[in-house]
Amino acid sequence: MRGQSMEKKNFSTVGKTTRRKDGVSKVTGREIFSSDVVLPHMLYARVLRSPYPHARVVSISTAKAEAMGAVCITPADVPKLRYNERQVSIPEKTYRDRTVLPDTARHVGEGIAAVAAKTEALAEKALVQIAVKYERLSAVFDPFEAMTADAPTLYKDVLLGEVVLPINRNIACHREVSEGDAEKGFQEADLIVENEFRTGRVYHQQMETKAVVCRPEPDGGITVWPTAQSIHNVRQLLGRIFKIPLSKINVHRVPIGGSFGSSIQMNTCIAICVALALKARKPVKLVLTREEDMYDHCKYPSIIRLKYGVKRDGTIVAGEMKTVVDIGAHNIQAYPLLGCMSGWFVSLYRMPHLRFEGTAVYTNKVPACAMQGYGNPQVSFAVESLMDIIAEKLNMDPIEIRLKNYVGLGETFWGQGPTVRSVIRSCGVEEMLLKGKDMIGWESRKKPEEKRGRLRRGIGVARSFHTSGTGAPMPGEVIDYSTAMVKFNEDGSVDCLTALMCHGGGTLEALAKIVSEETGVPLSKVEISPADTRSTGYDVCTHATRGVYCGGASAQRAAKEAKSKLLQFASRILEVNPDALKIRPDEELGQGIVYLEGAKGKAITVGEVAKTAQIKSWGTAISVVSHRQVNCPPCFVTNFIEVEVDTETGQIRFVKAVAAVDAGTVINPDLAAGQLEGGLCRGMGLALLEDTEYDPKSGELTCGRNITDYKIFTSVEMPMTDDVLTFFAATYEPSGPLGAKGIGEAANNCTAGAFANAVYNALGIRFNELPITPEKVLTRLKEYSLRKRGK
Amino acid sequence: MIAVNTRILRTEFKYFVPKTLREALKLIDQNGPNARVIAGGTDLLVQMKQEGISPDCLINIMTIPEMNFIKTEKGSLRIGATTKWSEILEFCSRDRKHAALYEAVRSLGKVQVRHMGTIGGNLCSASPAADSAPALLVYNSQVKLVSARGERTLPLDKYFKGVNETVRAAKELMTEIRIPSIQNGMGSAFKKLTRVGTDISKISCAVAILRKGKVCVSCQVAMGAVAPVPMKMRGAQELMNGKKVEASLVEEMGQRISAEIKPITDIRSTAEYRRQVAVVLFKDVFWKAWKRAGGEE
Repeated sequence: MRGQSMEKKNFSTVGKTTRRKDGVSKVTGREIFSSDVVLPHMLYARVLRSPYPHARVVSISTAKAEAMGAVCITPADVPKLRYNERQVSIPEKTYRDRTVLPDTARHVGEGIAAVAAKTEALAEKALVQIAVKYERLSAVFDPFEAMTADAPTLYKDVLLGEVVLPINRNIACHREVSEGDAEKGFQEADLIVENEFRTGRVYHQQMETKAVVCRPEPDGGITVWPTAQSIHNVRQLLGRIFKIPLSKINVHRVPIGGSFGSSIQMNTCIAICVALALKARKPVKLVLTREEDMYDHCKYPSIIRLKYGVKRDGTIVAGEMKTVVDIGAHNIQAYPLLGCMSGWFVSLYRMPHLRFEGTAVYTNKVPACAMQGYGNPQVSFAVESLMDIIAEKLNMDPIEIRLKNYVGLGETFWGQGPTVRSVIRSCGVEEMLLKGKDMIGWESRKKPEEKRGRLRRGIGVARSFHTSGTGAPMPGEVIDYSTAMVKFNEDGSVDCLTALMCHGGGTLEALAKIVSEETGVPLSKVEISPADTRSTGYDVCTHATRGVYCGGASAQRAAKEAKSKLLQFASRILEVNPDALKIRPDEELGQGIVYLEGAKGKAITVGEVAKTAQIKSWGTAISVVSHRQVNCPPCFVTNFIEVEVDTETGQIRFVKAVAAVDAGTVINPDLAAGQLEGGLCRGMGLALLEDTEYDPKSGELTCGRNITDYKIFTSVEMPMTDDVLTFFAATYEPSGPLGAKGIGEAANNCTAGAFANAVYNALGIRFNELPITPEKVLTRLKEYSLRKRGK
Repeated sequence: MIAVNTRILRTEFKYFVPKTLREALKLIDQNGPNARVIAGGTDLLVQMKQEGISPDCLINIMTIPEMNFIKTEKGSLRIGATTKWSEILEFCSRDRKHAALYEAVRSLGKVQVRHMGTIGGNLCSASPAADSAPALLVYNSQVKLVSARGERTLPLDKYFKGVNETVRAAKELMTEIRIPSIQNGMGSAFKKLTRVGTDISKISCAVAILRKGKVCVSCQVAMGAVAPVPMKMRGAQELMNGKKVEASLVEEMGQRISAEIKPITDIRSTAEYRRQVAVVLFKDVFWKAWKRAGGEE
């Protein structure tokens, strides 16, 4: 079973499997990614990166490289503006700690100089000729050590908005949230359960390494083809750093080869490339190697201390979460991350009394940034593990305790931390738990102590959710709106123009379907236009699972308004009140048909209307809408995972999965099912395999900076197709475009928790630290059998 | 090491494409110690990009027809050194006599690597984790080394010297691998443990057994990725040779193997884990080979 929904809705194209519009160009290799862009007279860039985790750059000599014909930039050649590459928070909540090229390297791999030359090979040779004198500084890699008084400090101060903020003990930021009276709550509890959970610094390993091409223009402006999730934020930040009017900066939307969140911020290589291009006065292309990309970003790791107080009947009365996040060398978005982590914690299960405390700490490691789930897989792993522990202590079924406490319909949900709250108006939690339970065979699930033999199977459940965007009734700390233009062409086809980005999951495909549904024009005649910053209105970013819910809503509104103009024109032709007219798609004609219900002869194709309006100079049926969603409804997700543990080798085999999502109306069922499956695969990586470790002496990645030794799971480790079951809860989100919510990040949010619970069910051993490698499993099994023998 | 760039090769080198073995040997002889022979390049190119190895001359031997062959001669198998994994895999899946070799090759890389990498290259790189090595060792295979001055054939067992080190002289070229004939009543198997499906071994094991009823006439065991070289487990083998096979004896062999190996901790696994799973990995492979030897599978 793949991606079925219980309810059939009356849509013409939404919810139906259709051929992807960008499918042919992608599978035939004709799609142009940033790394494919080639311009006349273009130079190729390479970046010189620090071999040390912490070092001051004393001097740089570029003479030899320049003698080879290379254009070089050093910290002395670039603007000194301190910036934050992420532009999604409001300015006064944005922490700014970096420059285009710093005079102090704070992690191995930090770029400190760059060259551009006629070929990449020449650039590579020139790079080696740059002589750098470093003064090595002591480095710190452990977040707790970093917070001690005598630890080396990464920053004296940073900027918070425009204000200078001193940094003490490497603490980048700190957040506390509380509601009710946690002390009192814990006193009222019959049982208090507490545990510590850890997750790793997973590398995004998006297919395409970050890349950019920049062309300086004769008028002093620049044109940029970047790897980016928001072209407008790239444009604004470049304008600020290089003091170029935005009207002279054009950033093109280029298809992206996967992201997992790695390009939410303006990638730092973009600013380096722009600086080179401006100095060279020629177009410059910079494509990161895989090893540079690995030293560029990773997932936020987490150390979470979690405590719940519960009544004997399983009702949660109090909760407390304390987290320390090792953010690495730059604070990209730790402040909103901590807020979001509190929100994920608060919105999973109802707690009258709660407390949250989060601390983000600088270390001399690769800077962490958002990655699918933005703290949610980490929080959900901890919460869902602890839920199972509590259920066992209370002798309750894990599903029962979840049904009893989950935050659902009519309740308040924190979509983006404490300042972004909205009321839940659609909820498929119960449906997913109950139906999933039957599909996985929950009733036949045995307790760990009943299991014997070398190969032991276990079934685990976990649930989670993600926000759909960051909209709210009031403006919060996060910017969120989208802009879309919809216009009817003179042959009855439709153009939709938006700066919204698609990461490969089909976001723009969904927009085309929404516009088709809203205008009544067949999907084959609705196209998404190429976009750049000069011709589009602002769109914040494709992040926070907001593409369909927020971007789709703006396209829907633009479609509605353009359609109303078209119907005005049609009413003049048909001599009917425009409010009485409707449009339906005619697939055979490839046209929308404007018609008056019940009146024969009162019908005309959209093409005829648009053409008539043009000939008679009435105008074009066109509309541009900037739209903010005033909600951010949760898309709930549930995973049931079955594993088989080899107790002799410690290897864990993924046997079966049921993955369900409550995404409201599902626009693209095949792509949504694919997202669930991808989420399982990557969630399994977080659970069982992925982490980056550092050599404490050199500060280098121990995985040898390459994917040879940074492994991710692929289809090989997934269960057979018949054993990956996906389904969609039958819900309709009243605030969403045609009832839709998000799905993207939710897909992997509960997977690690479900794996940990499945492994527990197989072995009776609880793993609180991810990844659960075969080595760890064997060690724990050995301890476990020694302990049992000791008894 | 951050300066590593896997996108492009920074170094320049001379490049030769000999058409005959004689021509190749002459080129090897003429060029200095910094010349390297390249076959599939699945190891050498990676080393050139990642480990700073910069030969001043590459001699490509993939264009020499006389080095690429699979022949059976009086039951024994001769494989040319530049034969690709995909070709060996295809042969083994038809021939069905060399189960351990088949399983080792099938576990090796994925399609792309198997279409590039060669058996001779794998043995010349001499990684302790080379997947083909344990399988070839349990068949008592031999390798043929040829130079402009002569040739020699030696048991694979005597070929490995250390991590990426062999007895092959710089001016010698491996031309052929010979696998002695497979007798009736012989069965073999190979298995490795890895982090993910496509990966280098954490630990690997091959077993070949000559079986007569319930008696193990002779047993060959080799382990990979547990010592500086892929190694034969002689001590353990002796425990079983000529004995009636019983679970307790197989267990004892496993324990002996676990004690004999010299694993290290590296990025793929830990010494402790390798030592621990050596026992069960060996037992799994032993029983598989045992069943095959008895025609039970």
